Amino acid sequence: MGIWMGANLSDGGDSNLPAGFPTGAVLVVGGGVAGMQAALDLANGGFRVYLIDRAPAIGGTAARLDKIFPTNDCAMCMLSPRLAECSRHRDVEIITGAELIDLAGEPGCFTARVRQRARYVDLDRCTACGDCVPACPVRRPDAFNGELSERRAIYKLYPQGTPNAFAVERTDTLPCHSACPAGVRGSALAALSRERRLDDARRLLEQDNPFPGVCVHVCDRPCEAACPRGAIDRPVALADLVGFVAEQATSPTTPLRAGVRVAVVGAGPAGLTAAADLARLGSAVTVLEAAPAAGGALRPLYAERGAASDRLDREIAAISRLGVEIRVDCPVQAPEALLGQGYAAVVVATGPGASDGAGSGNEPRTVGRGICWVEPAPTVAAAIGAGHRAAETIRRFLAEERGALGSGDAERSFLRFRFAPSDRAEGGEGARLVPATPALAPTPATSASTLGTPPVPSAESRPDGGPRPDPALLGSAEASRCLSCGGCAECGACLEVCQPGAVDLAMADRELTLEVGAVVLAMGIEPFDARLKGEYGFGRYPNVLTSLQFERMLSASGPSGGKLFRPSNGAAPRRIAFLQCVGSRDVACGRGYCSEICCMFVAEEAVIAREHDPAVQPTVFYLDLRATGKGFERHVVAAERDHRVRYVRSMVSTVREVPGSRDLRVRYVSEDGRPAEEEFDLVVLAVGLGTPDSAQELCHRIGVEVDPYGFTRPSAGSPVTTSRPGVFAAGCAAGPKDIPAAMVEGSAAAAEAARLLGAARGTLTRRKEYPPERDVADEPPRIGVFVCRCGINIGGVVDVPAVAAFARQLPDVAHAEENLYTCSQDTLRRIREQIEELGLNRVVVAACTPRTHEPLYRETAREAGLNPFLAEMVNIREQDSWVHRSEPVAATLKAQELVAMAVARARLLQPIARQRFDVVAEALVVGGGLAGMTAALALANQGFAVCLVEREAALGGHLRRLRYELDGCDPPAMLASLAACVLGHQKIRTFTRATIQQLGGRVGRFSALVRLGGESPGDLVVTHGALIVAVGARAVQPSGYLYGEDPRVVTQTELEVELAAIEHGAVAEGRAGAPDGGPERVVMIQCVGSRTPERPYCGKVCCRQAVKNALKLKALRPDAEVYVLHRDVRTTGVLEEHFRRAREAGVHFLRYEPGRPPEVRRKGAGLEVVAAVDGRAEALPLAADRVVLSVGVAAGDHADLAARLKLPLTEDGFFLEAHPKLRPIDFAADGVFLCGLAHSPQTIPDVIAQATGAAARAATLLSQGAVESSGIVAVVDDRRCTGCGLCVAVCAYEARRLDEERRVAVVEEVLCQGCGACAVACPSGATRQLTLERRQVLAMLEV
Amino acid sequence: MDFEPRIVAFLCSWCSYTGADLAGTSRLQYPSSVRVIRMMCSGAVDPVYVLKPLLEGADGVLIGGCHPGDCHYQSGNYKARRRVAAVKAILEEVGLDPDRVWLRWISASEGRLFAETVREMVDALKAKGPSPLKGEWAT
Repeated sequence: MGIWMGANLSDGGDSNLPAGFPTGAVLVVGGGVAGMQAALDLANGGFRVYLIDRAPAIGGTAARLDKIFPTNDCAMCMLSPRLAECSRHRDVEIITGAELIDLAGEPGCFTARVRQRARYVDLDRCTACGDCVPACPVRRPDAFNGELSERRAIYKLYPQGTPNAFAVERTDTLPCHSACPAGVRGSALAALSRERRLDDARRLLEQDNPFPGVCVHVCDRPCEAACPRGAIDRPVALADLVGFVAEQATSPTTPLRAGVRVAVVGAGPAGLTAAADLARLGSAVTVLEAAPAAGGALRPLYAERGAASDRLDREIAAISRLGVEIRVDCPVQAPEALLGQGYAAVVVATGPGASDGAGSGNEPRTVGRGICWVEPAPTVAAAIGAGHRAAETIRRFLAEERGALGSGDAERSFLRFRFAPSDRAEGGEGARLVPATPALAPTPATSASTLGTPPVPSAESRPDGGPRPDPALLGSAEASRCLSCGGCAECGACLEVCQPGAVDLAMADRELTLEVGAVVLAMGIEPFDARLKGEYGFGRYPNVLTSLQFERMLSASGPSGGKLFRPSNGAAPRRIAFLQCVGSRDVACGRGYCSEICCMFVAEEAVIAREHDPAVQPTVFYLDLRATGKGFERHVVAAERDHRVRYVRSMVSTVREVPGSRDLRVRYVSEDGRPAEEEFDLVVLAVGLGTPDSAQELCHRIGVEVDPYGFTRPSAGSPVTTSRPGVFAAGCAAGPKDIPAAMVEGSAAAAEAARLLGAARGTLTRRKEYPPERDVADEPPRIGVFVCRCGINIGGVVDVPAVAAFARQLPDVAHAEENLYTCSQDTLRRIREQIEELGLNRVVVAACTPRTHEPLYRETAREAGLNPFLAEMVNIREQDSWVHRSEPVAATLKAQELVAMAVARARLLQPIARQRFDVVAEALVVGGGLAGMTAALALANQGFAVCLVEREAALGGHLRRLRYELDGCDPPAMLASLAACVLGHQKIRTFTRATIQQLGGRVGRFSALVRLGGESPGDLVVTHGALIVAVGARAVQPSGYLYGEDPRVVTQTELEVELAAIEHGAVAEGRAGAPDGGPERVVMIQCVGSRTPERPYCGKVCCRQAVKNALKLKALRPDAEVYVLHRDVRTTGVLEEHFRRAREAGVHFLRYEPGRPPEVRRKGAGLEVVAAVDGRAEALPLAADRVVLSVGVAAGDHADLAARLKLPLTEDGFFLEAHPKLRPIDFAADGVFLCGLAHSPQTIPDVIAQATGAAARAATLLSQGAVESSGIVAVVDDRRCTGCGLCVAVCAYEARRLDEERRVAVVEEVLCQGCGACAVACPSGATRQLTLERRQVLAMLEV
Repeated sequence: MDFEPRIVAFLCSWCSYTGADLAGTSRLQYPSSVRVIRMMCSGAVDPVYVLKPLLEGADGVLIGGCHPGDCHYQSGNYKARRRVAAVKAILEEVGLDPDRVWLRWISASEGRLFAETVREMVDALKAKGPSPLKGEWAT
């Protein structure tokens, strides 16, 4: 019965699910490396992806980096292929300037509300030409460059920014602008004046206020009261600036073409302003004034100012020159009647005393059809404002009536910015329109018309009592004081120069509703605000920089083009101090964790700084040197040994500026305890990583819990999950980490999302359409050569213009040019355009290595209708500019010759048709430890079949030896549950005591020979589409320290087993926590077998294990004396908290020098450890009844396996990934992936993330159904083949066979790997290896 | 006489070419007179590719492949080894110095070895002097 009911309920539940459940789309929040990786893995795995980012371009923090450790690769080179792939991927929709507002619904079908801030630039129209930049007068500190330089309000985040378009920085309000009743754009006047564009300023002022001559004198300067600069020192003297600009010569005005006729009754300030606006909008305006002269209430005011009445006449004349006809002595009794006399609309602005029956209120009213009554205004400025509003009311009315007021172009160019903010603020009613200013506060009653004489500022003082600015400085110095606080000043200069018409200041924020099945949070990091560490003087001393600022300084595309300088005087710095742990490991400033990457990037920055300028002497002040990742230890060792970076182990107490020289005096306590002082030219603060406030608020909004630091900090068992099901976190949103770890988590989050949404795979994806391929077979070659400067990476050594010029005169070269970054979106587009416009049919790109970038240029060729194999690359960076840095002439010559060789070959390139091959939707996972089991389950739960092969008799690997963990994870329970899931999973075939004997085949269809041991030995062939290597590592077998001689000398793992047993026994006997005779005096020795000449890398897990066991000892037996003898305590990330806890619990951490390792000896009945610690000369004897060795992780004996799998190993014997940053868990060979300790020593959460990530990488392949051949295959010319069979003999892949009937050799393209051996073997020249044909290679040798 | 020996290098894409790239990312400096041609495999280096540049006056030819056992194509490097031996025999036969042809195993992680190899080869060729065919046929 119960079973039946369950079945019924379940059926009913299914039928209630909405159609299309789950949704086959994922929202990725944050476009840094983690977000991009998640987006690409999901999109390649058959899901639609919305990638949103707050910034105007994706790329995240990595885009700001110059180089990346430990390889010191160019960060942009790593990033740009990703940026390009994201922007070109048909299933990735990039939404910039966007934030997730709300997330409703359930895992599998969420509804996400996303708010996208207006960019004010139309992405579809912007060509990124940059013409708008010099037009913009507003200068803003460039936050991307760490505010070391300025940019304009219209800007591109960085040169390779994706999407490739400009954006306008603009806040909702401009304080001065909003405060002015007349709507004068004060900040725009300041910006234009500062740029000495007084003509533009004058024209702008005329538009905003036709009567500046008197207005400034009778105004109580609300703009200055609102100026935020007043909070710093004193407000910008904007009214004086208006007066200054008003004094400038009036630019000649040409009357606009007359359009619709409009009448204005009353020639006071309001009427004339309305008339001027309407004339500028293109209408034919007639002003009818009852008095004998125009001016209204202005005339007595000018008279009061004395001798200024001709000034008023000049200002009125300027309005006339716009084409406004002013008729005096022309009273109007019934304005309504004017509508019958040929006027399309009427403005009535007759000022105080005129009775109109329009009721009270400040706003103009349209009464009847086309009449606007202007209320009397209390001040001149308010009257001018009312005039603007009346004009706008009429514009709206007429726009509704007949589409346009006058000339459409004039209206657009005038209105797009003039009225834009009010358009954004108002709700649609013309009556509420306010010209360019949000809601006006009632003007204080100090005006001429109500209170008689206005307060006239004296000549010496300003209304606020401050001194009047020197008139001579108004246009420059005073204007420069404007902070441009609102960003864009709405001057409209960019609108005028933008040829494609992409700038649109009336653009509004918009809200999007996205239906998604899962969400990946990857909001990234915000560097610590170094101002909070006041003792280091950041923000006060110009020569104190943050590490991110220094990184920008090193960057070729940074503020100084890669030149090091002291901000105080621009001089080249020699002595540079790097201070570690600024805003990391510092509970006092709320950062109790280690930021994990600072030790490494400081080493990189110090080395690169010396590379830029060998005279630089870097000194690094640090606490513990934490180089735990793959290749990191070598990197820091090389920094100190080969690059002469000086390391000082000390916390710096203060940094003080030396008066005069502005050098910096660094005060610290040396390791031997003496106070020391040293002077430096530049101090670089290695600022830690934190979460941006916006990210924390976002988590709060959507109900994702964060820890006190704002990290989503997931559980150890599933590193990318969050507290909300269906929402995953990757990268630094989950905790501080480096680029590859962030990318791995991006992949892992993709796997988790795909696990949830597996059923919807492929339901919402779009297909990419390429243009039809141009048939170029009969065309003579027309080669385009594109030579990349790569910033200064190539251009700084190789004379790139000379290379391009040289290429131009090579045979069949139709076009050659140089590019700043050939891989940038705009250059790629340019290449496509050149292919089409110039009819190019071969493309040669001279840039970086084809290993990373050739696919990009082949794709570009394909997008332009060329066969992708007609694109060719020349490596003039890795194999030229970078390796011949001091020989620019020789490097240029080499580049020219390499280009000539490539051109010679390109002339002979032929289109290649690629075949499609099937993909077997099954993965083979080698290794059944934590990594292998996790990867297998991640794939199986997405619906893919998995074959899991483990060498030993039981699953679990290293996990079987672990008993407890620090972060609540229970290794035995984890092992039990994983093993049960794996063994019970329908999709997983598990073979233990099994080994891989042989691997053959190709991506998508590998074939492995598996040898089964145990009870039923035999061989088994497993056919699979993807291979995951998770074969683990082993613990170092210690020698010395009496290990193996005295049972009281144990390893950490042995101690862990002992402590777990004690705890288990104590719990069983009901006396948990009571001392029970366990070890009382324990000395732990770190780095036994790690960081040694034979194993020059960090074991990573040993410090963690020591802290873990020390804490367990203290918990079991609080009186235990625990000493940890270390070289550096490497508790990275949030693990730092446990290190602190251990110290608080009384565990002693003492540092020994690698040259003087501790000695262990027997003393009496006990043991004694003698060690020279913490820089002291005399050795310290420590009595111990247990000595614990923290043995490192050694690579497994994988040489045989690696050879069988044809996979490379590192020098240290770990497996070598395709690229340590770009492809951390891929192998160079397609379809083969890597995870776990086989990659490098790492912790449980890292292993799980890598394994899940590797599953995601494999899933992108397994979900495809088919892959295309590489194209580089052998082909046989039947007419020349003699059927000798030599090719069959040399082929290692059995891709060759003889067709007995025809007596010719044939190639199985599916099996052909393109090695080319058969082409060399062929004695008759019948075999060609496509892309590397003999005639092509020989042509290269002709050069 | 001091001269810069001209070297043509054929590097396999998977190991030696990647190693040469690593020399670049590591900013290891080496003589600029080497011209690299990227091959898929050292086993695809036709003896003609070695003979032609030598006959036309190149001072040396370097072939870089994966270490024995590491070949991405299983056994291409062994084929290369046999072919290079044959080429050297031919060179000896026609009276040219077989030591102008070097075959070296350089892995993807051996950027330093690649740079050192080029340096060593340049030094060795300098010691030998310019190719005797340089003046005759080469331009």
